[in-house]
Amino acid sequence: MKKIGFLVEGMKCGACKGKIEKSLLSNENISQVEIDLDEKSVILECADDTSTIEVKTSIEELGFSIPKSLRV
Amino acid sequence: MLINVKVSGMSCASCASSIENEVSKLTGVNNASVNFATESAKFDVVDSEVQSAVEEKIKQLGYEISFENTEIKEKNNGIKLFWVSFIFSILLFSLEMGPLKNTFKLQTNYILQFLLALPVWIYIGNKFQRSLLAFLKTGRSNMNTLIGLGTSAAFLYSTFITFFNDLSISWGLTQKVYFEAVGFIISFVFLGNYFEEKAKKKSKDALNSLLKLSAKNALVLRDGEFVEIDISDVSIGDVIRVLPGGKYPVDGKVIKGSSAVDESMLSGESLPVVKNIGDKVFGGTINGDSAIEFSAKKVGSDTFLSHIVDFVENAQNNKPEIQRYADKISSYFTPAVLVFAFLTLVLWLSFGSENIWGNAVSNFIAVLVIACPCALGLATPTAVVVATGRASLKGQLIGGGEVLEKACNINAIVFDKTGTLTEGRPQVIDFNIHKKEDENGILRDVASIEKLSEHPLAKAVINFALERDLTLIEPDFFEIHKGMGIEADINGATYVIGNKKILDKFEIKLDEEKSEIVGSYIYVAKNKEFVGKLIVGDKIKSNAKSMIQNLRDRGIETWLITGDNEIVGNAVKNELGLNHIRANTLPIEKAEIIEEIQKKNFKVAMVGDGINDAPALAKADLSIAMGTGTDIAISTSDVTIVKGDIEKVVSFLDLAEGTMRVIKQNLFLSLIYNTLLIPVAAGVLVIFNGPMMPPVLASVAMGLSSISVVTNSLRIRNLI
Repeated sequence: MKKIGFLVEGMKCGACKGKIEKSLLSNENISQVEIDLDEKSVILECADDTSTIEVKTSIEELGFSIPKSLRV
Repeated sequence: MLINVKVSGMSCASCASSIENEVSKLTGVNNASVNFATESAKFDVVDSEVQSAVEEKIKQLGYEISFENTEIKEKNNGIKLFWVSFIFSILLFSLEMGPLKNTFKLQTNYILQFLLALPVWIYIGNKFQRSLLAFLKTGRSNMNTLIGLGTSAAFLYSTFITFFNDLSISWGLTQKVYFEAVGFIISFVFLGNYFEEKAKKKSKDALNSLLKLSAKNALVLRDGEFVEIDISDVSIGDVIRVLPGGKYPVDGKVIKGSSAVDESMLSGESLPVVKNIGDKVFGGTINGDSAIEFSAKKVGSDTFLSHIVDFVENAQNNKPEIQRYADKISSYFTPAVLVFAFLTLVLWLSFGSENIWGNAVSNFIAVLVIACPCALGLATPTAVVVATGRASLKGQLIGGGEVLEKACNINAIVFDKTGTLTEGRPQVIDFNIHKKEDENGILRDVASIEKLSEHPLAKAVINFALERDLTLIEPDFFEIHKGMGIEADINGATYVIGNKKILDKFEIKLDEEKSEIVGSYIYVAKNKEFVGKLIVGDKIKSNAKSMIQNLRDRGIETWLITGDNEIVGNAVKNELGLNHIRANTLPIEKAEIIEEIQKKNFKVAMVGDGINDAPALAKADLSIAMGTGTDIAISTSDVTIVKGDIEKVVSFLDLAEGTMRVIKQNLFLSLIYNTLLIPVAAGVLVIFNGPMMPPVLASVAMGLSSISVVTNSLRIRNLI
């Protein structure tokens, strides 16, 4: 298990949050997702071989942008 | 609406021009163009009612039309008729002056000759006598009229002597029959036509081999199984399997498998192209070593191959300006020859000293037979057909004779930069890592980090790493600095990658020698220390330099007009040695610049990509569109170079010059034949105590003139 964190821009409300959670959890490698709207952070717990870039792309495809990752 | 038909029964260029003239006179016909060499015609008519009027008119003129414009029809009874008439002629010859001469009484001999000559004259020579009748009725003449008149004159004169011998003696007619001349003239015209047909067919080889490229059947998925069906039953969306070594039946997109495909028949490039899922494939190309499944996107007359065939057929109907002079000459030719022949007859009858009637008739026939304008009619079209056809097999689509003619006068060529002189896609053109770092290790890390970016330059770096077979890895931490670059932790090190600004931000000292290379610089720092750089740019095509040099050696001014800035433009100009440059231009301004150059009395050719440069291409005197690497398409330009091989600009100019040279030789040859030999046939040499030309020899000379012209045109095949 490892943790990956992103700074995600464009999340405004619970609906955005729900959309990202739902999308990420549909990936079987990802077991838990924590989203903080104030901090603009998305932190997820996932299998060790999960690709950071793939997760980044899947969030970006929902219409958000990710300028940086977070050290978690 | 445009109608394309095949017209058979034309014997020379005057037939073609008389069809053109007559059909254009019909109301509702906007344009008519008839090509004698390809036996095809193109009419622009208002509606289908006019179309049937056109068909009616052509039939009325004595020609046949058909719509099957795919495979060129073989008709080969000409050679059979030649043999029959030749054997009759040999018998006639032996009765007249050979071994059988004294076997019979003179009267019986003549009657036998009459019986042998009759079928040759009226049956085998039917088309000549028919066109003589048409001439008597309508006054329209062509080459067949001349042969008809010549052979009929010989036959009727001889018949009169045979059956009204006493009367002919009392009228003072020379007691000689010309039955054997009737036989030999008709034989040799047939033999000449046969060789001419053969050579004409050869000139159409290229088009036929394009037609032969298309597959007959396709393996199509139907109810879960692949079944072989006729290509005409394939529809859009069908899943088609192509076996190793098999032919792609239609155009489409690969959905399963990967294979190297030989596309040389369409693009002229001999290297096979690797096709993966999502790539386009084209009907007529040949599959490599593994099976591929693809979904049909274009079928029937919509495939790229069909478009090429259409294009080439149209091109072969397009006449150069020089041809119009030849057509004009030949349309006056037959009437002029008729006048000249009668003049010969009259002059011999008035001023001849002995054998008056015999010499008069013999020379009259010789003039008619030798004066066929066929060679004149074949001079240009056969050359155009060979040139455009051959070029199409080498990946150059040339719009016709007019284009070849224009190309010979070009003295300035304007090039677009991106995609024309350069490859047209950003790629790493320079990579150097100094210090004692591992080059491939750094490249792998940098490319892995670039995967986070969506910048177009990033793709070039990633491709560069993949080309070196490096496996990309995952970064641990990253931050994208907009307009500067990326900072990331990967493989236990911290990288800063981007332009000068990001190095400044992280206070990293840039330590490099000044570089002259024009492109986008990507600096790389590892653990806060500058380690090297990559330069991404648009690579100049490898053969562009020798091409420009060649054009300059020919005395052609070369221009570069680009939308890029002056630094980038000048770098390309200096590297390649072009004469002039205009940078920072919009597509529409390119057209204005071309106009400026034209005002300085230059004939300007524009070489660019068919889409962005459309206004400039339209403005130029000659437009050459470059196809790009992956998508091949025919543009409306004068010339399309199917795959962007820039060197073909030079080979096109060579072909154009060579073709025009052959056309001029042909016209010279045929005019010489006609103008020199007609007086000889008329018996002018007799004035200087020279020989007369027997009618049989005249028919041999006539055949040779056409054959020599067509054979000369076939030499163009060696030019490309």
